[in-house]
Amino acid sequence: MRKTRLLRLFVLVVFCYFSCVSVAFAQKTFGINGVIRDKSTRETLIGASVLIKELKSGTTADVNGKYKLALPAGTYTLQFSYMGYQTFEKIVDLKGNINLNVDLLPTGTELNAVEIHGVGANRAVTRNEMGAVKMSIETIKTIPVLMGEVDIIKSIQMLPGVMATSEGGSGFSVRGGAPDQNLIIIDGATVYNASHALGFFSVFNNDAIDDVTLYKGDIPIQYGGRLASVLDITMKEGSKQDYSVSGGIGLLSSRLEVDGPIWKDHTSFLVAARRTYFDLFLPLAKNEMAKNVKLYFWDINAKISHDFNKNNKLTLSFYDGLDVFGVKDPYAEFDYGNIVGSLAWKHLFNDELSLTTTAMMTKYDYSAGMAMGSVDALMKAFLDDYTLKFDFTWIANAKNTIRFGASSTWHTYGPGDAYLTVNDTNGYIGNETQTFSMPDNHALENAIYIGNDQEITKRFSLKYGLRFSTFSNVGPDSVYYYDANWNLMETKYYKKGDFYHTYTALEPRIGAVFLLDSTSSIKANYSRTSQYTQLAQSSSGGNPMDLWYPANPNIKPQTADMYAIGYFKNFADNMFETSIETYYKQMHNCIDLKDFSNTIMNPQLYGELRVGEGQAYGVEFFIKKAKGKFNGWISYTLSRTERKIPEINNGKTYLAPYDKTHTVNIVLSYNLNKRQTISANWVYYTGNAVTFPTGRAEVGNIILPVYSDRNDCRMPNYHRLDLSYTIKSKEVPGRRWSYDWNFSIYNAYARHNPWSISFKQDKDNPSQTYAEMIYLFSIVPSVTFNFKF
Amino acid sequence: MLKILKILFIVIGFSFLLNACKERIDDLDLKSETARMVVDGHIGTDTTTYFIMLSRTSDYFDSDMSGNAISGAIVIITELETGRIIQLTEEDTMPGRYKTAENAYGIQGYSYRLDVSNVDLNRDGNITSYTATDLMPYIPEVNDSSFIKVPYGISLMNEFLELETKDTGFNVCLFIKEPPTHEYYAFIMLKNHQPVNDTLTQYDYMDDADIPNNGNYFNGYPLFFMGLEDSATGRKTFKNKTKYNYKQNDTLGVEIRSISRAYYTYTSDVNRIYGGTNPLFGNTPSNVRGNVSGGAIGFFASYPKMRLEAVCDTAYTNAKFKKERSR
Repeated sequence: MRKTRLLRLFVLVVFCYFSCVSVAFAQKTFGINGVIRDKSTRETLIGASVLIKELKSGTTADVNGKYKLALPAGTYTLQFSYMGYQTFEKIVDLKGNINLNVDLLPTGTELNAVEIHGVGANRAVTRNEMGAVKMSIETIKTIPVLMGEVDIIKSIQMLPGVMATSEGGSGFSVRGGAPDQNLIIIDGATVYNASHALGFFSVFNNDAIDDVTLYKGDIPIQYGGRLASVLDITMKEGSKQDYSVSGGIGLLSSRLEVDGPIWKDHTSFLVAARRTYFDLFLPLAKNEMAKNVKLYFWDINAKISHDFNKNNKLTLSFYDGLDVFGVKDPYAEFDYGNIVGSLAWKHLFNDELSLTTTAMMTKYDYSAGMAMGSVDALMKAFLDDYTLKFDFTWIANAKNTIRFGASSTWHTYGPGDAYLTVNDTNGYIGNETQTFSMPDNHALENAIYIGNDQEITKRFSLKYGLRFSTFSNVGPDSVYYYDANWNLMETKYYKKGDFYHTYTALEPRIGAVFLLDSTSSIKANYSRTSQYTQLAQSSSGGNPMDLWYPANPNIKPQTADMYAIGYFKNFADNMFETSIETYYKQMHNCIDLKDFSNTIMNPQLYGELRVGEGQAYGVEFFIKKAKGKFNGWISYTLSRTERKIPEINNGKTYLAPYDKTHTVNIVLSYNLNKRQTISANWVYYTGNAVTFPTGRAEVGNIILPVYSDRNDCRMPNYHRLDLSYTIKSKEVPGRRWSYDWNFSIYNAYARHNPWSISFKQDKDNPSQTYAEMIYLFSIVPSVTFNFKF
Repeated sequence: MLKILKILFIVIGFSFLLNACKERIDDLDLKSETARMVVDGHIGTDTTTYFIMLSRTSDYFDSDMSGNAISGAIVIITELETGRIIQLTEEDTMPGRYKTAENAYGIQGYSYRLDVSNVDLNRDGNITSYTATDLMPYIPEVNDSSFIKVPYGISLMNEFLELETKDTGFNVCLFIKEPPTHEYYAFIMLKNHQPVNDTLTQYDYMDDADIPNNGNYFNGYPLFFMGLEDSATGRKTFKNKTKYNYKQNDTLGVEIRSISRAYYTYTSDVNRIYGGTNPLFGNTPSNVRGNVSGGAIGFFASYPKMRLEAVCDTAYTNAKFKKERSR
């Protein structure tokens, strides 16, 4: 305890020290600012880079395509670049503040197939950011996929330190974190369940997505509330110049995206929608059961953005999606979906200071209904968030960029209501209406933060900040209290508006980069994160009925301390990027479920939880060829994740379910010519840590399995090869439309990777026991047709 | 009822997925651990001989269990409230099976402790002992108002849910006064006084908190639907599970056991393990929660039971039954 306090104090002192020093010694500087746009469409180029060649440093354009530099007087060569555009250079003689807008020319449609950063060739080395990976949608599109459905989360799972939690699933574990420890945000708003079709597809429609950044350790100070990572997804903005339509027809779903100006040069819109049509073919099936099935999902993304003037911009983003499973007769249906919206106003006070004010809401809910003869039943649960957030960025001088802000979120957790109506005319079991309702919980989560990105010397930069968060449970609520043995002691009622319990947390974060030379660097960082809301995950794969629940007097917030250090080196004129990163993470108040727990519709959920400590450590190797016809990356991760919880596994340390010793990802792509690309990826990882029988006992005329310690066994190792071939339409000058065909093969060598393994008794010879696996996919070929005009 | 709903939703929503592709794995390497003690047995209220089975665990894929019996143990049952001791002796012909005298019995509301000592579990001369205690619950009295009727027709549950079906058989309808306290029951189907099933996982269980009738009179509660095997035509209601078919004039019975909460937990653990696991809904499996000390597997149970029987008669139809009840 004492140690932590000292550490906090230390970070505070360091923070103040550097802030003061930097201000005191600030030089006389001038600003360069402007907007980087596409020359033909005049769309702003988010993330375009500006490099000051003399200083080997630079910046990137923000969400509005704007960039800002503050430099001492002098002559500089500015290099503007963006993936898929010709690089543009300009020499400026800086004697005062200047405005420089740049329009870049597209390089034609040739794309670097695998391009994590399109910006700053040596950015991976120089940037003071560890474990942050940005993926462009173009990169994502070239990775072979399941059933032709291009998927952001599946692509993220190919990165070092990121692991899929189950075959084909969109849950992922980052550096030993649980899937619910990833903050997934789209245009700033949280997405609680990022999966469609029970996890096989993510909710993100790539037509509507601009880019994706995953922070897997060095979580920026403006984010909080999750332990392991932030997946920041930016929705595409419509063109303010021209209308365009694009779409795709796949085996599983079709997509359509329309965007364009509402008021030329000022306001644009974008709408993208998709729907699966598997169910439309079901009536053709011969099987009566299949005809009776309802099974589909749809989603829609929309965004409107408006520029009032050069200092004010407003964007409205919206996502809605729904999954439906069920049978028509007798009626039974299970639905789930997210609604997410955000309204952001970006205001520039002057060239140095900007403020983004964002109001957000997110709702996740599911419902299951049934009508069978005389019985009607309905069961539903939900989670609501309303957030208001203020983020300031102040470019104090050429060497300090200070970010500060505050956020406040009102959470409402609706763990479940069930209604059952029985109309029993025969009087066998009686007429009745049963209502089973678990009261909603409310909580207020607040945070304030301040941080600075500081260049100490040309070779040494620091990034440091402090985040303070609070979490208050607010009545009306009834809380079950448990004794030390988790027996129910009492239930306490709190009246409306009663802030009956509050947790606080201080989250210091610090990162440093030291440039050894222009092609190599050493980076280190420490971060502390806390999490107040978590998922009661009943299984490692996760299912849509899993509930998010808040910290309360029974469950303390989870916290994590992560230490990481890495070496980054580029070779052959930045043709190859390599890195080695190692991390150690301590997790406190780590939560797991007790044996034979029941999390679905259980009013005493907290009684099913057990709390302890966890730790994770690993090494990540990454090599990427960023340029040329043949490109791609190879990553290898060696890692371990453990938990120690007194009431689980007899208090012995055990492996977390997503512990994987070895993970290998190979993603390769070869451009045969301007029109054709072939890609392949291969995935290998150690089988999940599971609990298998080690013995058997004969009781009650059955053979009862006797299990190993928790997660003490391994599933067979997982590996899979995917292939894809993309051919684009010929480029004809003046033709506005284009199309491409994508053929892909998932699991090309038809490996039967077990999704689950169960143990059974032979029907003919009951004394014989055997293992049986369920595998989801053998070889899955698919074809998708994409068009744009 | 909620439990039933949960199961129903899960089954409807996801069954199609789980049948995706199944394959037997023959080369799965499982760990092997040192043997553990296994205890299995019970005592009831009838005056008769009761058995306790003692054995040790073996490797999971080891189908030869013959060497697993534990012989030479000292086994006694003590009625804790009175101190009465019931001695058990090992059978000569069945190693590992220990029996009481023919006049053994237990009493509702009393606790019973099983003591097993002189066990050489790992055959290394290291002697261990084990103990288990269970409280025998009460059971509804057998009197004129406790009986079953077995009207013939379609399943009353199907009729109730308005499901279309042509299958006809015998509906087992229960009439009984259930106590208002919290009880747990196990139901075992009988055919001509013999149990149809003989394993823990094939019995049916009920937590009376889950049903609306707790503490009320069960006025013809449709418990089960059993099939008909028509001797004349050879037609069978259940084509595969033929043991659930009854012939005309067979005696159809239900044995009701009133079990302790701990034993109910144990049986539901066993059933959960047998229900299988899958990545969507399966929890991490773990060892069943028994009541035997010293890391042993199994349960020593004490429960009273009652049997309710009726003769199968296709002439006694659902319609007649309803008419009778409506009077």
